[in-house]
Amino acid sequence: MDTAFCPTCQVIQPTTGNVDYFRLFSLQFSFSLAVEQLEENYQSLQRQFHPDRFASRSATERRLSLEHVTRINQAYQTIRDPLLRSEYLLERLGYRVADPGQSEPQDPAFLMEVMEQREALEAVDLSAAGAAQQLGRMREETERCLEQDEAQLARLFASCLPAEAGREAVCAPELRQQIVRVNHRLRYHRRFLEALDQAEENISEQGV
Amino acid sequence: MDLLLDIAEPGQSRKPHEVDLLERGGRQRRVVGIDLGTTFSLVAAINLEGQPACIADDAERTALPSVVHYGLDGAVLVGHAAEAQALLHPQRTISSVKRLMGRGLAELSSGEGGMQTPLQLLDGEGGMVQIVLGARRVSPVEVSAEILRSLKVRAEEALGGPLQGAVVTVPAYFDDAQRQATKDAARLAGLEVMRLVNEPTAAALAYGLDAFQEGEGRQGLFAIYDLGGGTFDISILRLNEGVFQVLATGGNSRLGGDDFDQRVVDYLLREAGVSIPDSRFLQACRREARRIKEQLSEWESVDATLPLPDGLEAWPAGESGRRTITRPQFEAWIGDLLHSTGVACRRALKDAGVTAAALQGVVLVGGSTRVPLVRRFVAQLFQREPLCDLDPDQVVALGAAHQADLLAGNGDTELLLLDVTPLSLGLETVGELAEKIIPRNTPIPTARAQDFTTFKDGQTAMEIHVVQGERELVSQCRSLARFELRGIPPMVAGAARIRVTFGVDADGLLTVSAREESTGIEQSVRVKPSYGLSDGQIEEMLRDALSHGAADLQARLLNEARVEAERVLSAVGAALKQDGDLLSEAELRRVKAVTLQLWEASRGQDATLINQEMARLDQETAFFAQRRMDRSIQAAMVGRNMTDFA
Repeated sequence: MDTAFCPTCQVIQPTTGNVDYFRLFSLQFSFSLAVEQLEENYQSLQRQFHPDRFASRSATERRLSLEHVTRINQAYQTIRDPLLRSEYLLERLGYRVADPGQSEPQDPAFLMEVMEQREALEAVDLSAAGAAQQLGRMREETERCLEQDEAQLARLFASCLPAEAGREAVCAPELRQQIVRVNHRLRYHRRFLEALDQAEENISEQGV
Repeated sequence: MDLLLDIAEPGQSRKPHEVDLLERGGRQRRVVGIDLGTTFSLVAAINLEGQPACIADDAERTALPSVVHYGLDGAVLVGHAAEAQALLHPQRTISSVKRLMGRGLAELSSGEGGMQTPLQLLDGEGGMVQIVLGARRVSPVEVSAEILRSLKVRAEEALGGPLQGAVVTVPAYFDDAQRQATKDAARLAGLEVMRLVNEPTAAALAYGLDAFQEGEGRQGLFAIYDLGGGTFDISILRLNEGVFQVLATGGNSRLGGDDFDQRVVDYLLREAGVSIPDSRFLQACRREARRIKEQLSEWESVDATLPLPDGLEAWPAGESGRRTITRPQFEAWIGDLLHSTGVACRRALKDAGVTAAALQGVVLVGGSTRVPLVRRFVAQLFQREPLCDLDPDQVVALGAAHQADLLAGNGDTELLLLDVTPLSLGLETVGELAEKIIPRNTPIPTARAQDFTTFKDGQTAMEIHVVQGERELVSQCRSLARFELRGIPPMVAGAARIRVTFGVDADGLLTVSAREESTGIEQSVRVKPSYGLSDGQIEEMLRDALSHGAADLQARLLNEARVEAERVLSAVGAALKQDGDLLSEAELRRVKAVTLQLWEASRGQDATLINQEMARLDQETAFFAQRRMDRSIQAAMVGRNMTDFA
């Protein structure tokens, strides 16, 4: 962000095209995250760029500050979330997860697992006495899966990242395929956890 | 916005010494923080010592009841004066209007939080509720603007000049419609809104200040449990060297002390044997319920008086109309309400990725946290005694004043508030499913784009339906706006790429734009959610408010004439009842006809006509008055001996 302020007049400057989210927070381009460094740098960027700091400045400066902070928040949100972080890294390695029409690689064993989990959740009688415990067990199981997914992603990404200084990161197609598959798993497990959240809230609303 | 800034209340003459003192060296901007609450509202500013302080009215009261009375004469009363009219004119006296902000009728009457209200409501434009006042209708935005205007006048008198800006607080859990409505109300009141700030965040700022001034490290993770009159918020914050970062927020914008009152009202109605109360009876119950609730915070039991139902002169034998309500009884009534706040708290902790044990403290905000059960509940939920060093009623306004001061550039402090979106924002996709674009608890300001494509060959238009909420089905989320993106070049299905961008600004307000990108032909639409008032509508309302000055005198004359007519009508009615036999049938018909004409005139808007009709009635009943006089003299003489007069 060295160029964000004019070196002579100290006035805020427009955001520049594509900025690397990791570089924005002075982080290494990798899946493993230095959380404290992210948080610290996030707050320090906010101190510099937040619109509140420009409340009494010109309309242009206020707009520029808004642009900067919007991007800082986007970057922060992307990097601190494991799924978004993984997808961002994949995108930087040339694979766009969100491309419409792009089919996900299917893994039959995983599809079976998905169907079994969904069926198990649907079979839970939310009004029954043991429902909370049942959901609790499913949650533990899912959280364990999430941890595994993230550990796998960290390992897989580590084998192609970080790139050496001054060189584009490269990722062999088979390796990328593997990453995409784990990313897919992670996304599914996250959704399932949300479904569990919803079910648990339905229980606690009933249990009045 | 220039139009808005030019409007100053009349009679705002500057008080020179105050200006000198308050402007702290002449470079300060005159700004305030406003807590627009469900039951009462406050305005605060930084005082001479550089501390935020609430501004009191002439009677040294800081809290302005959030009550607005619309008189039959067109006069508007706000605050205590309006509250005094509540029992007499329940349908023209509006309280808890915050609960109606940005809401449609269907939402208000359905589901949990459905409240009994003496007000007559109907759906207005854009599906937002309106309040019926005789022939007139007002929107919750206009009612809130009256409250804000009253606070503005108070602050301008105290600070000695027109305000240059205000920070207005909203519940963190307010959705986009409710935020937009609040901002519209402030603009309508002639306030320049520097920022909408979430109530718990403002409270944290007020608390944080104290900690920093003591030089102690009250740093780390905090929960703010904010239970007001009509809303509940929970926010989890991380404090670090002057940065207040909200990690997660949650709550219920239809849960608060009003609901506690309602539980007591339910009890009073049951005991009084009234199932369908009229508005006056309901108002009496509500007042008694509030008293009971407040006293039960101090006492273990409270004597309650059942309001006497209409048509009863006195309670029948065996019914004293008195009850004793104990604290445990009251606690049983509100238990489930607290339980639902617990659900929101646990979810917020989960969203923030922290456990209750990791918190450094829990802060209580809002008048309803005075209820002992609430304190016990929070202590148990977070496994620690909550902090309540600051007045829970004032803390939000104090924090808002501080934020206003920061935004005005008055202070030199390094404090910064970083907030989040309370609810997920998304779009309707195939199968009436809501696709989330910006998930809840995303730091704001933010923007996010998502690509969509056509699903039919040659499709040239696409409907975009913006929704807010956590549920999967669109029907269970709040609908914010619908618009159509037209002019997509005809292509095979799936070839077009439509990029929809959601932007949320620092006030938490949303704008959506969409554009077709695949062919380089750009179509861009910007929408503001449809429920808000357009700039044109606001200007119109402001002009109406300005022309009020001249209308006021007319209104006062009309009111006086009406009050007098009412007195005359009731006097004639009583006389006819007592001495109607003095008149022949023809005379009686004549008197009644003229009386009816006055009654009709008194319901109109023409003060002169009312006065004319009064004069005519006076004339037409002169002979009747004479005969009554004679009769009363005769009555006085009956039973006396002639000697008494000798």
